[in-house]
Amino acid sequence: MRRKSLGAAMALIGVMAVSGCSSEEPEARSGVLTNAEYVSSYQKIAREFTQELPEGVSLPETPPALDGDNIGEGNAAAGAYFFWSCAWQDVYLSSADPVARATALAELREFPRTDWALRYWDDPGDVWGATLDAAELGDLTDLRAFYEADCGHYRSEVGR
Amino acid sequence: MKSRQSRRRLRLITGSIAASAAIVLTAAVPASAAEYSINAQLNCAGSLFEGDTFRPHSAGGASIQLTRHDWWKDNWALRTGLRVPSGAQTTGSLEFSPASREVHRYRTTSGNTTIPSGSYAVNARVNTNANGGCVLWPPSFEAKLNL
Repeated sequence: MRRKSLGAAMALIGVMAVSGCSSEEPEARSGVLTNAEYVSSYQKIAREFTQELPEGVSLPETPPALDGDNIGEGNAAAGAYFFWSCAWQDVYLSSADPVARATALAELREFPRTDWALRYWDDPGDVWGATLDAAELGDLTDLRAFYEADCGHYRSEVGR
Repeated sequence: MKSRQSRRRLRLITGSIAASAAIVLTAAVPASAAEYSINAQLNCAGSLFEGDTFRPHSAGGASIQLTRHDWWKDNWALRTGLRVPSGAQTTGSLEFSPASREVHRYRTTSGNTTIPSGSYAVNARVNTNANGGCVLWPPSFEAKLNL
């Protein structure tokens, strides 16, 4: 009887491990990637990326460099979505054209609503929204700080 | 009670299989604007795990306080830092016993406790002190992360 129960449990575990589902922790994500998987996953995401980038900007061939082979799976798409966000931050912070800045701001406000952000961006206090609100009112301090901290990969790719 | 224990055991077993040589991550439930409940299962051999949930931080300090740990050897330590989207860990690594329930403050690599505004994800690994290999299941922890 005990062996039978163990067999049933192992079968269930097998299903759960494959599907990645857990009724106990619906938000839990169990996916980890090797470095090669991380790069190939990013490249697939970059090929299929639908968010609009500023004119003349395209996603790079490779994602930000990460160490090792235990990489949370959301990092692959993070490479694309942060690059996209950084490109529009750059426009907003550097352009004097009000139309370009309005477009950039609209794109930046989309960030928390993207498919990636809905799973991997955790901002219950809407820090990002407050940062954009301040920028719209002329205070660029926080947005510049985010650009400095978050956009090293973008800057190195576009030479800024 | 027995049922809860069974479910917990099942979850741990699931974790060990999914992790096989690696790790399982983490659900985040914010308790306030800047405090998050995080949990993770780490690699028994000490490999770095790079979390994939990013959280915005608007200046000020950042800290981590463990609230639970399971399946750690006595001489193992938790090593953790904060990483920005470019892949760089921009804080120094904190290392402490998983039994500690103190608040541990992250510092920049230059030693400053003010962490610049930015988006951060958690890096974590076990310092096995040359004593790798699981006790039975992968070591796990739960913590409050303040950003």
